[in-house]
Amino acid sequence: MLKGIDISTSALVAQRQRMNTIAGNIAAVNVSHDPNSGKEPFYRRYVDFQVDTESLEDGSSAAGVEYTVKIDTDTPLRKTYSPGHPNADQDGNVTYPNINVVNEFVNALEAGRAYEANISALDITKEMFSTSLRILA
Amino acid sequence: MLEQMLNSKSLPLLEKMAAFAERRQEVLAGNIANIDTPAYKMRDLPVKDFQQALRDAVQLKDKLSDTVPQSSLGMPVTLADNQAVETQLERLFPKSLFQAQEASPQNLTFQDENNRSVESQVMQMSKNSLMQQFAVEVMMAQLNQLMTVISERP
Amino acid sequence: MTGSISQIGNAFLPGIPPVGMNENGASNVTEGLSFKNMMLQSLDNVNQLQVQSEQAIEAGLIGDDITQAEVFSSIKKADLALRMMVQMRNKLLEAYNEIQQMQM
Repeated sequence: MLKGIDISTSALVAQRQRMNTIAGNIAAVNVSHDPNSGKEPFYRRYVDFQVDTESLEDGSSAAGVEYTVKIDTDTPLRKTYSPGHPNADQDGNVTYPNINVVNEFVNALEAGRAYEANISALDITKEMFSTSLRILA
Repeated sequence: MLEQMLNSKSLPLLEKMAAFAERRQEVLAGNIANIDTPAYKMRDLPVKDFQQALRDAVQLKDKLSDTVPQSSLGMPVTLADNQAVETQLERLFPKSLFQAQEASPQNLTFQDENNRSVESQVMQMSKNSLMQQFAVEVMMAQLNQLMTVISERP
Repeated sequence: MTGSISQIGNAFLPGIPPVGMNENGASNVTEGLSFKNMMLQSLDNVNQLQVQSEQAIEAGLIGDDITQAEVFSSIKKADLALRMMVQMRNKLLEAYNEIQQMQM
């Protein structure tokens, strides 16, 4: 009976996680990588959405969304030439994460809009419930 | 006879559902209130266990009405039968179903060791309130039917 | 007399013959269909609707795949059938009392 609410909520949770990863990316945009530390450089995180197949299996027609946080190792890291920098390697290049702030802003806007759209869907579902009470009156 | 009438149809189940929903609303409100409390763990009533108890109660009712001929509306006939039904029903819904336990939505933990998830709590509250509304409205409809028959005025 | 009544019925509601007659005005009362049987059948129907509404409510409470609108409409149908039955019972009682009071 209340499946519509579950579905909208799964979308809200997914969009919020997406927003969290975007915020993390934007915060780390200028973190330079120390080549001597032995640690991996910070790669861009992104969220992959899939249809929630579990909710499809029980024979219903509507499905929610699930998300997985993935690391983008395909785009190359940003390198700038700055020989005086403490984290510069032998060639004088400093490695920064592969994060493009403009892309992240656009993604953030999209996530915000998707969040609003799902809140609207949730509101309309709840209104439908209230309206159906009039059958009994 | 009075107990038979007042516990006829789905009235006992609807009462249990409405009571459960009210208790659960308190627990969920407490969760939202403690959004910023460090080391607070989300709590909830055992919903799956409650649904299983409802299923068992429905099966119990069906089993009882199977032994009675169809034209008699499926109610137990003697007072002793009716009391047996009531005690069996009560046994299906122990007090532990109405007590809060820790419940972690989606295995999240934040840095202050709180495992909040605002959307899922608000969603649970919405669903809970809708179920409570459903149970109460249906209960009112069934009680009005009884009123119709008692007062002989349709 | 029956013929003219059936004609009236057909004139006002074309296509809907009066109870107990088919469209040509001929009687189509089946063997054994008496008022008493009709009443008992209606009682059964009312009971059937009540049972269906209970099943719908239980399905809704358990969390089965039924919509709230379906549950409410089955409840309302059972309710209306019950009220109709109560009203019919009242009318029958009235008729019985009236006949009782007839002076012979």
